[in-house]
Amino acid sequence: MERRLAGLCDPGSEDFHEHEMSFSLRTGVNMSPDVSIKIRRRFKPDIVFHNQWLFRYIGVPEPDAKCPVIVRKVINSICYSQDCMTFAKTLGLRMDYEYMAKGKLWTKGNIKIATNILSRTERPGQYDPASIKPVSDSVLVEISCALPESAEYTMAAKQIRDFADQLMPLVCMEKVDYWRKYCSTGTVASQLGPIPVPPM
Amino acid sequence: MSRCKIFILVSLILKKQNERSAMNPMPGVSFTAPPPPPPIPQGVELVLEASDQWKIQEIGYDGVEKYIKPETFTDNVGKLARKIDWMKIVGSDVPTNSTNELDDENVEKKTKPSEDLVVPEVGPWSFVAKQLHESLQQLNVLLDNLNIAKNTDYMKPLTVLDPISNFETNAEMINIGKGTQWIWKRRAIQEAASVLENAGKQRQRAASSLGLSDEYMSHMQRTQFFEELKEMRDFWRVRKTGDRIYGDLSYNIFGTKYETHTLFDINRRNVGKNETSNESILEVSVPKDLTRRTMLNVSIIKDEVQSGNMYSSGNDEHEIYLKNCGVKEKDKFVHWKDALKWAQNTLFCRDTFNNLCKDAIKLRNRLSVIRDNVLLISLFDDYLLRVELKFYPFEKGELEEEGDKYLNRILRELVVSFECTKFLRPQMFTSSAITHLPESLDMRGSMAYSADEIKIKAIKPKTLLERLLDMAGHYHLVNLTGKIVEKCASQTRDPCLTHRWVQSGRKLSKLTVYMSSKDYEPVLGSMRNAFNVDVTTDCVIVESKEGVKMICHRDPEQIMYSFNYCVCTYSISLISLLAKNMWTTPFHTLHANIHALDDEGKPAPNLILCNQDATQSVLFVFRVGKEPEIRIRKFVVNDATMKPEEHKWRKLNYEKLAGSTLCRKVDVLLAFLRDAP
Repeated sequence: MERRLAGLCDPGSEDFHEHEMSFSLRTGVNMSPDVSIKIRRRFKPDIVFHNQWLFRYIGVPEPDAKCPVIVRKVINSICYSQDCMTFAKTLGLRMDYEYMAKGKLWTKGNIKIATNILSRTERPGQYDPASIKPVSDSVLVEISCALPESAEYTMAAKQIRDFADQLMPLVCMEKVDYWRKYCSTGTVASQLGPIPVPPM
Repeated sequence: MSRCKIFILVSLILKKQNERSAMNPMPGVSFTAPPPPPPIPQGVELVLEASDQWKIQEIGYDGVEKYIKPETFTDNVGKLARKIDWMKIVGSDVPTNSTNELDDENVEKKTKPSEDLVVPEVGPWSFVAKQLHESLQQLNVLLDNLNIAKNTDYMKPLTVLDPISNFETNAEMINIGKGTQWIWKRRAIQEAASVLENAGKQRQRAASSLGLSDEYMSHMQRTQFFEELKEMRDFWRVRKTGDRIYGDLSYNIFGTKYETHTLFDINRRNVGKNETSNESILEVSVPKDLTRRTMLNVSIIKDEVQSGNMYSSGNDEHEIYLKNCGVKEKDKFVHWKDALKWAQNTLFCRDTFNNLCKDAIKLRNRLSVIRDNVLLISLFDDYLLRVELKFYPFEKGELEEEGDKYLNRILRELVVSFECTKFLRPQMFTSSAITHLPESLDMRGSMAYSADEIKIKAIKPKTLLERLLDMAGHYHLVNLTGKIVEKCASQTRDPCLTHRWVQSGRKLSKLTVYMSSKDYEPVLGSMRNAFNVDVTTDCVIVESKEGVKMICHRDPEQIMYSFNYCVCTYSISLISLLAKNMWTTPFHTLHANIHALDDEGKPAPNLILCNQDATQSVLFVFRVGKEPEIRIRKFVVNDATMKPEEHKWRKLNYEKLAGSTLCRKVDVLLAFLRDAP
């Protein structure tokens, strides 16, 4: 997989090791989340990245049946906090799940390709190597491209689709129709495996 | 399982013999009687019966029969032995203990020989016995081995035909019998033999007659095709989709590749029978808009009437190219190596020219004109940078390089360095978007940078054209400075000027000019005799030896003037040093000013000396670019009582002073004035 990506992408890749926590705000009577926020931090022994957190809001997929990829709105915000958990709790956010992602990041022009190996901790709050266990043997491949909010995304979507098709025998990048799945099964977070993330 | 044993009992009953014994009750009485007729053979009576069968002990509910094992011979003997009354045979007097003793003795006797075999561990002969015992064991083992080798099949040596495999025998290997392996081997050898035979035949045919067979030719062509394709893959991106083989002419490292307008098809050329195979078998069809040779010429021209036509010259080559545009078949005869190289060069030059034009339009503080594949952009003052994209026909031959070679090369280097730079990068978090901003700006939000800080840190990389303009400007100024230095050196005979480029860069160069006086160097000693010139992208700065910086911009006269000024200050220092020399002409320096100005406000460094007797004063004035002015007068002892008519400055004719150099003239003059009244 890495060899294939090295052949297709721009030369050079970056390693990353990040921790993502998904928080949600529940105010209604029924316990469905009003809004969910992903909070990320880097596991890197570099003082520059210390106490830097990424707050990320991901919108619902746009119901565009013709578009070959998933299109969602994303708001990113980087903040500095020495005690981010207290801050999140004060905002009324409650954590749903968390995971650690380790992998490599490749680029090809504007397209970003991330290969994630997911792991989770057995004891929440402790992230030493002894308590971190892998989620599965699979690798989550994420291909995405960021565009301005009102920009036309058809061209970029086609580019992503073309690129994703080249990984075909190794990874099958499919457009997951979240909308239909959500209506039929009522669950969204049950998708495992390679999921293409669309232009945002 | 049921088992049964069948014993065949053979009972021979000879009836005749029984009859004979019955007819002869009195053996003492004899009768002569005819001999009995020979017995008629009646065969052998065989009775076949199962002597013993395993008895069934029980039959289970599942139908399994359990048998009682029949008694063996020893069991029978044991059973019968129990019936014998041993007391009768032996006698009742023998006490029962004696039998035990006898038994014990027998046992001891039996065990004795085994004791002999035990290796003695102590005693003087123990070592010898041990060795003997070991050798006996070795012999036993050897004997066993020999027996096994002789009598069994285990240790038979393998023959050539036996299969040898290092793999562990598994079920598959066992299944493959010797016969299968034989078939395989035979088939492989047959195939190899057929290949060799075929090759031999082809070679014979090729050697015997020049008319090579079609099969052989097609084979050769196929081989050549793949070899050339392999060679092509070393330098070009080649891909196969379905039956189509195509390559990519694009030169970019980052970003998308295999775009439609840069693809070229690879085909196998149809070569005739009689055609020699020196030419390539590969045929490439490059895009039609790239089937031309291109040169990108960069030059600096002066914006004046004498420069002639600044736009495309429309010379002969261009006309030939335009004429040949219709002849499309011509490009087929070009070797693929040349064709691809030229086509990519055309693509490269065209893209570069387009990028330069785009940059030129964006540059607001510089005037530019784009016409007839020529870009004219103002460099500085009256100078223009001219970039021309020139096409030539797609034919073999050397192209004459036009424009400035250095600038042509610089442009190529710049484009290549741009292509090798990765401007887009992922941000601090992988989920953030890809950006072209510098890394220090990743935390502009979290670290609360002010707008000014963001502005300072957001250093935008200069565009290709801006860099080219900087380098071209610097190149022009370096050439200009070099020429002026040489001109100055040729004009100034005393002191002699020599120069050396201390630093030569693309945007900053440094020149050091050394001044020296012939024959007087030992006298001057360690006097600082050099000044520096800094050449930047748009300015020349002369720094005198005293550290005074003179910004000359791009004015050649100003640069020349600065050089001459440095020569003047050097001359002042030179004369003051000469005057101090005790063993020739000791004079005292009364006054020296290198920053002095004359009546017109121009710099005129001057120096006044007086001899040791205080009778004569000498004034030296050095005006920039002119001959030194030397005046003498009687020394003024008291300003209040002096008479102006007696103390007038008298100008000396510099040309008529004895000596060829300034130092020599001054030396002679001072020697003359040393003892003057």
